[in-house]
Order: sequence, then C-alpha cells, then structure tokens
Amino acid sequence: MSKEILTVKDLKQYFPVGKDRFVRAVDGVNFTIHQGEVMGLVGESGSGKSTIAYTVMGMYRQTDGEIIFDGQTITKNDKGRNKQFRRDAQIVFQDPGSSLNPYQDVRQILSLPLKVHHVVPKNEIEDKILEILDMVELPPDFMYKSPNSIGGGERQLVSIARALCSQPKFIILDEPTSSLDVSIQAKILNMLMKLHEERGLTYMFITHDMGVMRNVSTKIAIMYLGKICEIAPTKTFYEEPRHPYTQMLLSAIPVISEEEEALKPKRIRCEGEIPSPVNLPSGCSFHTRCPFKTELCTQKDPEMREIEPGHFVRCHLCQG
Amino acid sequence: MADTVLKIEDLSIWYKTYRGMSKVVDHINMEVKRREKVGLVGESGCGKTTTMKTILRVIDEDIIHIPNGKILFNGQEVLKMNKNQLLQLRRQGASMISQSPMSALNPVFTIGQQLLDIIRYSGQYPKASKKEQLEIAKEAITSVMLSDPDRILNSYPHQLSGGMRQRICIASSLVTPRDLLIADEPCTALDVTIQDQIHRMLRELVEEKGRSLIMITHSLGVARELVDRIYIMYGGNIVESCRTEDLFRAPSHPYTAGLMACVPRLSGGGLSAGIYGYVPDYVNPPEGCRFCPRCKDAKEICKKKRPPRVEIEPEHFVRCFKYADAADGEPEEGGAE
Repeated sequence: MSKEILTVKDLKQYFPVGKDRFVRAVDGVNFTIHQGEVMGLVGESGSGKSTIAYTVMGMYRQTDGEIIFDGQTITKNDKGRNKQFRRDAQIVFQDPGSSLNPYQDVRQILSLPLKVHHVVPKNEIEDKILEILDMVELPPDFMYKSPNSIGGGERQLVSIARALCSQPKFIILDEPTSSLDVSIQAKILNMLMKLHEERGLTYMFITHDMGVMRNVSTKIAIMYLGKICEIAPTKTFYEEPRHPYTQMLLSAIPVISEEEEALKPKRIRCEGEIPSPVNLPSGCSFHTRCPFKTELCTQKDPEMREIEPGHFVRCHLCQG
Repeated sequence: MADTVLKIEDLSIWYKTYRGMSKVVDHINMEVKRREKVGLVGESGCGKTTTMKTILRVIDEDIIHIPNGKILFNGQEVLKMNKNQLLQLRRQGASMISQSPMSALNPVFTIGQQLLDIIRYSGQYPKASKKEQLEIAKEAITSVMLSDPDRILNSYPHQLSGGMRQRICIASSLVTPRDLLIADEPCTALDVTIQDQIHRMLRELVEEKGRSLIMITHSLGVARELVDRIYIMYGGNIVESCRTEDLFRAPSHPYTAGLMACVPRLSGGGLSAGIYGYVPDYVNPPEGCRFCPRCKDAKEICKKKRPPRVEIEPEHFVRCFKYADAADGEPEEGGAE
C-alpha cells in the first residue's frame, strides 16, 4: 500500500445552538486516504460532508479529534494551518460563481497563489499562468476575462486552475459539478481524472451523485448524520452494499439503462427524512428510517466493523 | 386516450433584448393527451421553462414576442384568451409546481392560510363552509404523505424541511381538480432519497386522479422513471420526440445520443468525452440546424437548412438530416420583427 496522505482520527465538529445544545455536524469520523487514491464522500445534505472538508482545510477549529496530513499532525496548532499544508492541500468549491472574485480577472485570480507560495519568480508569473490555463484546456485569452463574462463550466475550470497553482499533492473537490449540465460535467470530470493520472494527485471527492462517484473514485465513504456508516472499495460498494442506508441510496437513483437497473437493491424503499442533527435519535442514528431495525438498534449505537479487508460497516445487522 | 389536453402548434417565443430579438423557442410542436405523463428534457438555457410559462401566460408579456404558433388547451386558444378566461385557466385548468419550493411559498403566511386561499379563489367549491375548506386542505396534505396535517397547516414555510415544502407545493396544485400539472424540475433542490419519494407520490397521484403531467427535467434518468413520452429539447427546438422505451432503445438524434453518453453510469465503464461547446446564442442562432456547431456528424447541408421533422418509426419524430433528404429542408425563417 502506498503512503498515507490524510488520516482523520475520531474527528468531531459541534456547533453551538443556544445553551448546552449542539449541532453535531461531524460526530466521530475515521478514515484514511492513501497517495493516489480518489476517495468519494457521499451523503444527503446536512450529513456533514462539507463540514469535514472545511475542518480538514482549517476553516473550522475541530471540537475534538486529530488530523494527520503527510505524516504530520496538523490539528495541534491553534493559529490554523501552516504554510506547507496550505501549499500542499487545496480545495475547489461547489459554486464557482461565488468563490471567484467578480472584480478580478482570471490573471489576478491565478497570480495570487503563485505569489503567496513563491512558486515561480515574479517575472515568470505570466508564463506560469499560461501553462496552468493550458493544463485545464482553457485558451490563453481567458487571462483577461472576468468570472462574470464566462460560462459556469469555464468558471469551474478557473477554480480548478486556481487550486493547481500552488502545485498541491491533495485536492478536496466539494461537489465540483453539481451545478453544471451533464454535457459540461463530463468534460470537467475527464479533466480532473487526467490531472489525477498525470500528476499523481490525491482527491477527496464530495458529491451526492452516485453515478459520478462510480466512475471517478477508488473508494467510497457514506455519511449519515455526521457519522460514516460504510466505507468500501468502489466495486464492492456498488455490487455488495451492506448498510441499509447505502442500499436505500442506491435504490433511489434514477438510471437510464436496464443494466444499471439490475444493480439497484430491490428490497428497500425510501422512507422518511434525515432527522435534525440537534436531537439525534438514540442508538443507531439511522434506525428511524431503517426497515430492518431491531430492539438493539434503538438502544445501542453500533461500532464500525471491518467485515472484509477494506470494507467497513457500522450496523448491528452486518456481522461479517 | 384520444382526447388532447394540450396542443402546441408551431410555437415560437422571442425575448426582446438590447441586442435584438433573442429567438429562444423556435417552431415547436407538442401534444399532451389526457392521463398521459410527458417529459421535456434538455440542458439549461434551451427554452424548457419559457415554453411552460407561456402555456399559463405567467411570463412577463412585455418582454416577449410570439411571432407565430398556437397553444390549445382543451381546444381553447390560450394566446387569445382575455383576462377572465386566463384566470379560469389558472384556477381550474392547469397548475405549475416550481423548481424551488423555498421561493414558491409565501414566508409570512402559514401553510393553512395559503392552501385555504387557493381553495377559496379556485371557484371550485363555491358553497363550502370554512370547516369544509379546512377538511379539503387536510385531505390534500394527507394525500402527499405528510402526517399530522393540523400541525402543518399552522406552521410557516421556514418551519418545514425542503422535502416537506415541495410536498406542500404539490398538495396545493392538487387541492382543486385540474386537467394538467406542470412540474418544473420539482426535485433538483432535493436529495435523491426524497426525490424518489416525491416521484413515486407524483406518479401515483397523477394516475389515481386521472390528471396529465408535464415533467420538465434535465435528467434522462428521472424522465425514464416517470413519464410515458419524452420530448428532447435543444436550443429551442424539439429535436426528438417518442415514447420513453423507444428513446432509450434507439436514441436517434445526435444530441440525444450525446446526452445519453454523458450520463455517468452506475455500472461503471468510465466517462464520456461530453458534448463539445455550449448552447447557441439565440440572438444570432446558427442558420441551419441549431445543433450543427456541436454535432459530430454535421454535413454541409446542416449548416444551411433547417432539418425537417421526420417520422422514423410510428410516433418517433426526429429533426435531423440523417433521416431526411437534403431537398426536404426548410429554410430558416424569422428575422422579420
């Protein structure tokens, strides 16, 4: 197995709401991403996917837990992340419309990270920008365009270009294509996968589109109410999903061929909605929607178990 | 099944802009029969919502120009209706479920007040007392699988989750019997598990109550699960229309085929290259086929003439020169303002 690039140990992120009440956005999450992997993080809205991303990047101070990046514990420093980390890890946000400064042109947007991280000497910045634009297959005349004058797909490419400026090892992609049309989505995903292969980048890919996930990731983690309920290599995940929530998610996807229809679990139907993260249900947090729940599920929260190598499930009913 | 609820004949809709007329919707034909579920699929910016808003005439009429075409709703011509007839259409004929449940409900009134307003002003229950109206509202809420209707009637929209709000929107279009329901991407803002529930519910209600449904969506998967017949729209043209099974068995227009290849499969198999380019500029649309600049199979003729609508098998229409002789092409119309 290759080197571990990101290890998250028992990460907790609570946000206070009123007196002595907390939104448990992330509640004890463990996972490891190895060099060259693409880990998919899937879940409904409100399950804590983006909170994990922001906490890893240092935008929030974690309530508890430890994050190890490239062999170093990065969560000890109270003043945020060190410069080495900020250079090696980057993030691409969901909405390129609001994450790019509308008063700057693409050249200004891309030159800031190049200056801050001293990637190239000052007089070579223009050349470097052209090289990066070429990497994301944008024509050189984009340098002088403003984010408002270009289409949504191109804007997202500019955000990806910005993330690439500091020559990172690891990029968090927070729903990079969910606001785009399928024809453009395919183009951007291809670009990301090309960069992944050519430059050996490691991704943490957040999305709610299971079809996209199937085609880009090497392993997948499913989140529900701040906890990971199943982690598995992509193929196993789609062919033998074990957690009832995973099965529910898979059965809900609208598909376009018979072949895919056959992959969907049949014995489960979607019911109910995700409960409020302020008042978590007792026991297993999924028991309010689970058709297979037992007495035990309502009382005791299940532990994460490894049922086969690399396949972890948090459920009382999956005993290996 | 013979009678038709909605028929659109050769309709064009232009927007007035500072750069000139933006010819967004271009000579479309559509038909919705009673008890039929129809899907309108296409990328964003290809005229789906514009067309649907024009059916109810809820679009700002100062900024559009309709050079030609007819919309027939139950045999009446919508574009020539006067104010009273229009009110009648919106009260009793058709209703629309909007894309974002967040903005479709008024935040300062309770759900109960909003539903009762609809019941009162629909004119369908002229003799109902307040109590009976309340019963109708409760029944509508129960029919969209929400428990505890009393609590919901007394709550404000912000107290409900996105899925619940969308169900209320559906309930509000179901409280009065109408012939046609237009759902404009009702689930884009929602999670897949909620989407699945809403689709299932929508399908059951439409079938049970004998309504017709137009489902606007950009997802082929959603269309496949829900509708009987699909119209594929690109750049303001209906490029392909046929029954759902036929479309997925044999997608015939190059755009449909490209769109289908773009959808990432659950069964794996990698990603497609996508469709090169963007939707056309509507002020100066391509002279011939509007898909021509992005089409892999484009020939000389495609650049010059508009492809005709060809029936390649029963009830399967395609607008492409692949299936027609060059001589059949129609010259690009319009320009005159």
